[in-house]
Order: sequence, then structure tokens, then C-alpha cells
Amino acid sequence: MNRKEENREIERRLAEEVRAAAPDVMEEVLAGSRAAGPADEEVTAKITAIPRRRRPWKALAAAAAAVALVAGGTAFAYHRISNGVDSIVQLDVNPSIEMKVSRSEKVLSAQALNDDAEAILGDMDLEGASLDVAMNALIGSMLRNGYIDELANSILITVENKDAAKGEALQERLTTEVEQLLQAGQVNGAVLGQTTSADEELSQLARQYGISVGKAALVRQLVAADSLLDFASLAKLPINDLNLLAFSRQIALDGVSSTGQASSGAYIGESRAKEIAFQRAGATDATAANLEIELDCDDGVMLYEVEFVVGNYKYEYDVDATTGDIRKEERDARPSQPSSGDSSGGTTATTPTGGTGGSGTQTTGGSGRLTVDQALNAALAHAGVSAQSAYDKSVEFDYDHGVAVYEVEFRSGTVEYEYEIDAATGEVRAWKSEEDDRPASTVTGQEIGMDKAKELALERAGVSGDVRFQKEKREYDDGRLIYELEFRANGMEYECEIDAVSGAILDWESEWDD
Amino acid sequence: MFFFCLTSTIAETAAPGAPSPDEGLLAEIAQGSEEALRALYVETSAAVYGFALSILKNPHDAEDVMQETYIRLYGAASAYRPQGKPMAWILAIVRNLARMRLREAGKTVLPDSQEQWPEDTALFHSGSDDRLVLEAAMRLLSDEERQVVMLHAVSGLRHREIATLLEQPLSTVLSRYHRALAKLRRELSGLPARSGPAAK
Repeated sequence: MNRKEENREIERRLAEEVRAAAPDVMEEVLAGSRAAGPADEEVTAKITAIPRRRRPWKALAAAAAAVALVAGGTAFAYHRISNGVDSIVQLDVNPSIEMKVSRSEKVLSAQALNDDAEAILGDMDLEGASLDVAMNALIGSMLRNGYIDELANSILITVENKDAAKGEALQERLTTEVEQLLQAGQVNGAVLGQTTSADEELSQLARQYGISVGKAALVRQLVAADSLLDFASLAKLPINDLNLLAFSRQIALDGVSSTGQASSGAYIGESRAKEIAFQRAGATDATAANLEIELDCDDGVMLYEVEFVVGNYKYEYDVDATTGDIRKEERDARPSQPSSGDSSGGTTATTPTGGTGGSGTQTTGGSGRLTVDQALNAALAHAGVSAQSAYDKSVEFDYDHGVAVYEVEFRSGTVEYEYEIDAATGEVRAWKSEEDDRPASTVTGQEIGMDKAKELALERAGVSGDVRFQKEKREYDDGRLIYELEFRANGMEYECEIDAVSGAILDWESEWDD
Repeated sequence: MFFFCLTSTIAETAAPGAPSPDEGLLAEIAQGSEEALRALYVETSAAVYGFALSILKNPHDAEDVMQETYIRLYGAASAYRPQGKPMAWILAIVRNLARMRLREAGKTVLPDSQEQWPEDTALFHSGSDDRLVLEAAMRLLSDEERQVVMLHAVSGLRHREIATLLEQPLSTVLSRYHRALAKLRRELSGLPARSGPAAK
């Protein structure tokens, strides 16, 4: 046997033995599942809290209450590391609190990092309390004040200690304690734990966005893993939303321990989002293919991105995760070039790329195509815009006159950029940038409808008869509802933007369709 | 032999008999179908157990985690997003549960794998030489090596998928895999091949 053959034999034998050794727990599983009942969303949350052996929680409630009663009002003393501070512990939910802790785990100071935290800390005086008691008091207050409940159950615990191993041990202990506190409060919590070390970039990001270093570390990881996310919008979100995003977009958080499942109870859920999109498109499970649903965040609004294909059209919907409103819809004629199996491949934006952006380790996607990240980076480089300052990013795969391209859009400051990047070479094929000074306004008045918009566009182009619409898109653009249309007629290709209420043509382009 | 050399240069293929559960099963499980859960269990339980065992190194804990995995899966199937990789999703649940258990037991850092691995071989399926392979994997490999090998051999994951699941760079996974198999080859070379016609 050669080595490869030998390896295969060893692996086969290992697999066989594991298969034989695996106990049969099916009956226990069924019993456990039946006890939990069918998998509706409410029950899911309960099942996921698996009963485990727990260390008995010390009766801290009384002590915590005592702490809460102590009249506060003392200014927070600022302790430097050299002044007895051993660990820094940060607690983020949406309230964001930082505690400096001594070697003997006494709280030296507790500081509110945002307004919600002010409400939580109230006139609690945690100084001098033991860390356990302080955690108990804080979690209790968050539960009472409705910052943690079944609808939003995620907590981030960040520990900083010069001694990494010690920091990690403390973080792990606090994570377990918080889980137990939540359990006691009848909440199935989702607890994220991490340790950080002093990092100039993190401190700077934390200051810039007014968030804790811990939250900055979490957001930085999410943004690094998924280049379509941007720091500024994520920094505004509570931890539960960040946790949901990481889960939905399948971002592996490095060095972050995660227990429990973020509650999506405040949102309509993927299946409802799908239903809404299907209804709008007249699609059914039978007719729709290549379905993808992913949570996203646009300017602080949580959305479900629903994508699917029906016949020769590709549909994309952004469904408001809270209200179920359709915020964006798009229908694209599918290109005839690729085989149907491949055509949705390039449009997903979830390609995880590990490490901080542009690390140079990215490989091209299948069939020699650039990755979404590489396309985005090519456009950013051309525009001279840093990855950090770009927001509202979107990358879509498309064909332009038979050439595979990525359509890249992003904003930086008040400028809006649009690029067309050759998907094979990374070459910039076309680009434009414009000052985006349209005032944000809410939509008032009656929508003219997509059909009327098409009519107006054809009128402007002076064509009729055999017209093929390549793209029909309805979206909010800076508070204004617009239609975007692309069509071909008489050897020309047209692109336009039409105000959905006034019918005004906002943007018009035409070129020879070669 | 020539034929084998040729095929072996082709990029990695999934192990034969590797579980590849149908996504439709998860949809049915989300609807509460016990039958679908049973079918999924039959297909994936060895992979689940093997991975849990490779992390926890203790048959009892692995069994507990295995059980918890399917109960949790039954409840959370509706949260599964179809993306063609149900196995990776299931194994991510195993990973999380196993790590949680390690943390709770306060033994994230296990002193020495030899000590953790019970001598009592009655715990394993007996009567087969294959047992020696599992024992060797438990005894000789580091935690990281064992997880990689188990995922590759039993779960049929590709190295790239293993890298994602274990949150490690692909290069790290590959070197661990090769190091681990070298150890196992060395250990097992002196031992008789399993019963049946000798592979020649």
C-alpha cells in the first residue's frame, strides 16, 4: 500500500469503529424532544436551554439587594492599572458598563458607557462590592428594566487582564455565572464571552463610536469576516442583533465563546419573511429555487434579505425584520450565459474571508471568478476609499453584454459610488460617483406603481413594442422611494431611476447595446 | 497501482460512506416529524459521536453531548437556513455543546490525554481490530489532531470545511491531518491488518 492508500485504510477503520462504538440514544432523544413538544419558536428557546448540572449559585440575591440600596452619588474614582486594578470587566447588552476590579475581585469602579447604562446603574454604588455581587446586581437590574428578556437575550462579557490565562479563567467563570443568573430570571440567555488585550486600534474605535472596547472588538470581527457589513451601522446595534447577524451570516467568531441562541423573538423570522416575499412575487415553494435568506442591517434597521429564482427571473427582497414591510424589491432577468445551476453563485455576499480585510489570502471563487471581497476591494482601491469608511456596501454578480461582472455600490461620507468590476480580471469597467445631497425624507403620497414607471420610461426612450426589461427594482434611497429599470430596445440599452411618487425621472442613461 | 496513483492526485474527495443528510429532513424535523429525526439520526449519529468523542475524550460525556445535540437540533431545525451543508451545521452544534461542557467541567486544559482515556476497553465495540485504530487515535494524537482526523474520517468533511468548523486556517488543518496520520501509520504498521483478505 502506498501512503495515501494506507491513510484511507486507517480512516476507514476508524470510521467503522466509531460507527460501531456509538451508543444508541435515539429513544432518549425522542423522549426529550416529545417532552419539549413541537418545534415552534417559543418552545425552541426552551429546548435550547439544556438542563445541566450546575454549581449551586451562592445566595447572592440578598447581598445584591443590599448593594442596590446603598445610596450612591459618589464620583467614580479612576484607577489606573498600577493602582490596584487587576482586571477590567465590561458588560454589554445594550447598556454598556465597565468595571475595574482588584486582584481580590473587589469592584474599584463601575462606569456607565452609554445612556442605557446610566439607567441601569442608577444610584447603585458598586464600589467595594465583590465582583460576583456586582454582576448579580447588574444583571438583575437589566432583567427588571427589560433590557434582557425573551425577545433580546444576548449578553457580551469582555475581560481584560495582563495575564491572559487569568483573564480567560475569569471570563469563563463570569459567563457561567451570568447564564445561571438568567436561568434564575426565567430567561434563556445567549452569552458571548471574550478576552481582549490592550490594542490601540480598538481603543480608538471604541472612543470614536462611543462603545465599549469589548463591543468594538466584536464588531471589528464581524466586519472583518463579512466585508459587506460596516462598523458604523453595527456599532449602533444591541448585542442581541449582533449575535443574530453572526448566526444568520454564519460568521465564526474567533476567540469568542458563545452559549445559548440569540433570540429572534422580536423579529418576524425567516419563514415569515420568505412568505412575504413569495406572496409579493407570486412564488411558491414549488416554483422558487435557490432560496437564500439572510439577516442584514441597513442603517440600524434589521432586515431579512430574501433571494430566489423563479423561471427566468431572479428576485431579491429586503423585508423589514420588525414590521415585515418590503423595503426593497428587485427582479432581474437571468443571464442566458451560465448554466442555471451556477447563476446565483456570485450574488451571495457571505464569503467569509478570515482575518482583517485585504489580507491577501483570499482565493478566487469557483470557475476563476473573483470573490465578492476582491471585487469590493478593487472598487474601493480605485475610489481611494478605505474599507473602514465605506458603508451601505452591496456587491452583486451580473452579466453585462455577456461579460461576467460585479456591480459594486458603496458610500463614503456623502458620496455614492457605483462600480462595474470585471469578475474575471478585477478590471474596473465602468464607474461613477456622485455627491449624495438628496435630503432624507419620508415617502408621502401615492405610489405610481411599477407598470406606470415602465410606461414613463418607454415614453422617454421613445420606444414601444418588443422591449425586454432586464431589471425592475423598487427601493428606498435616502428616504425616497424609487424605481430602477433596465431595458433593451432597438439596439440600445437603457437604465433609469424614477421617483415612485412623482414619476419624475431622476437618472437616465442609454448606450448602444453591443 | 498506476490507476490508483492517478486517481489519488485528484483533489480531495469525500470519504466513501460519508454522511450527507438531505436538507429536506431538517425541514421535516422543523415540522415536528419524528421519522425525519430518526432518519437523520441514523445517517449522522456516528459522525456526531465521533466528533464529540474527539473533543471530550470520554465516552460518557460524548454520549451526553450526542443526546443533547439531537434534542437541540429537533428544537432548532426551523432555524436552519438551507445552504447545502446540513452536516456542518449539525457539527457546529456538537462543537458548541462539547466546548460548553468542557468549560463547565473546568477542564478546558486537559492535563494529559493518556490519563483521560480509560483503559477499560469494554467501553468500546470489541471483537474488531478496528478498535486499535480508535484507541491509537485517542492515545497518540493531540486534541487538535484527533478532531481533524475524526472529522475527516468519520464525518466526511473536507479539509476546508474542517477549517471553518474548527475556526482554524486551512494550512493548520492540513498539517495537523498529515502529522496525525503519520503517527497512526507508524503505530499501526506493526499490527496485523484487519481480518479479511489482505489488501494488496
